Amino acid sequence: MTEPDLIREAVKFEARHLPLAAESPELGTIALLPWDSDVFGFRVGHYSAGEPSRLVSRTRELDSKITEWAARDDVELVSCRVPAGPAALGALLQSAGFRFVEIQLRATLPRLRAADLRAPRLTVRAAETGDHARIAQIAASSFTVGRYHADPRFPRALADRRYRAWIEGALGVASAGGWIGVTGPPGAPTGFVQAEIGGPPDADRDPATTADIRLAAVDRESAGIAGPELLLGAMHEFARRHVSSVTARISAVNSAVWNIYASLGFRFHEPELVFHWHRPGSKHLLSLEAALAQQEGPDGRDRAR
Amino acid sequence: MDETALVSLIVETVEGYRLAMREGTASVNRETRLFGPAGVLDSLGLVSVLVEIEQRVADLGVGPVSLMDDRAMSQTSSPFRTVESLAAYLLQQLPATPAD
Repeated sequence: MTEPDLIREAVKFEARHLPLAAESPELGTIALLPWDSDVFGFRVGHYSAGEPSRLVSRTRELDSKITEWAARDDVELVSCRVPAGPAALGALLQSAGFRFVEIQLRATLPRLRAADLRAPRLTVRAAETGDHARIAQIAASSFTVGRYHADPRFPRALADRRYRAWIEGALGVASAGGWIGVTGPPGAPTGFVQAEIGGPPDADRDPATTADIRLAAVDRESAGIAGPELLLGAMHEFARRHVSSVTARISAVNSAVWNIYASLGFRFHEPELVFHWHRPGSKHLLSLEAALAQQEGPDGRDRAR
Repeated sequence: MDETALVSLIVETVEGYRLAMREGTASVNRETRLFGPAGVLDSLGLVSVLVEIEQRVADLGVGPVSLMDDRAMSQTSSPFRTVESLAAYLLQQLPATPAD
C-alpha cells in the first residue's frame, strides 16, 4: 500500500495521526477526521504541531507539506489546536498558512455536591423519542459559536449541519453512559444537554464518576431562563447518579455561557487556540463578500446569550 | 400593586443589576427588551433579575410569586420579552387582593 492508501485505511473509523512527512517527523502529525468529512461532504483533517523550535525556520516547508498532503487526499480544511500559552507556536502556524479561528477553554467542576445546588425551577427530564425531531431542530439553529461557526469563511449551513448530525448520532445510539436531558413539555423541548457519564476503568480503586457535557443548546425563541436552569437541572441529575466531577469545553467568546458555568462553581483552565488551514480554491470556502453577508444577513445570529 | 408600580419595580431591578455588572447606563423603560437579540440581559442576568423581583415582591407583602417555572416556559409568547410583558405576567401571578 502507498502512504495515502495506508492513511485512508487507518482513518476509516477513527482519526489516526501519521507523520505529515515520513522523512521529517519533527514537522508533526496529521490525520483525516472521518466523521466531520462525512457530515460536510468533503474531507477534513487535523494537524498536530511539532515542537516550535523545530518548526521555526521551516514554516514554508510545513505549508508546502500540508498542501501536498491535502491535494493528495483531496482534503479541503485542516484544523489545529495548540495550548494558548506559547504564543510563538500560534505565530508559526499563521506563517504556515493557518488562520486563527477561536479560543476554547475547559470548564471543570471538581467536586459536585447536591447540597451546593439550589433547587431547579424548571423540570429537566430525559429526552423521549417524541422530542428527537425538535432537539435536532434546536441543534441546527441555535449555535453561534464553535470552531466552524467562528471561521468566517466557513458556510454556516455546514456548521449547523454538524451540530445536527452530532445530536442525531447521540440520540440514535444507546450508550451506557450517554444522557440527554431536556426542558419543556414532551414533544416540544425548549433546550437540551447531552453528556457522557462514566467512571474510571478500575472503579474499585477509585469510585469517582465524571460527567462530560458534550453539547447544550436552547431554543432561540425560548423564554430565556432555559439555559441556566437546564444546566442546573443537569447538575442535579449528575448528583443523583453519584457523579463527583463535571467537565465541558467552552468557546472563549461565549461569555454568557461562562457566567452560567461560573455560577455553578466551575473553574476554567487549559485555554487552547484553534486554527484552520484552507486549501486554496476549496469548493466550500466563502468569498469575503459572502462571509460578510452571512454574518450580517437575516440569519446573522446574536451571540449566544 | 398595579401594573405601573410593577413596571417601576422591574425597571429599578434591571437598572440595579446592570449597574452592578457595569453593563452600561442606557435607561430602561417599559418597552425595553429584556432578553434575546438587542436584549439588555443575558440568560443568567435574566434569572438573577427574576429571582430579585420575586424577593422584592415577597418583601412588599404582596407575594409570594414564582416567575420561573414550567408554566412560564409553556407560554406561547415569552413573558420575559420586555419590561411590559414581564409586568403583565407578574400581575397575573400576584394573589388576588381580597375585596373590602
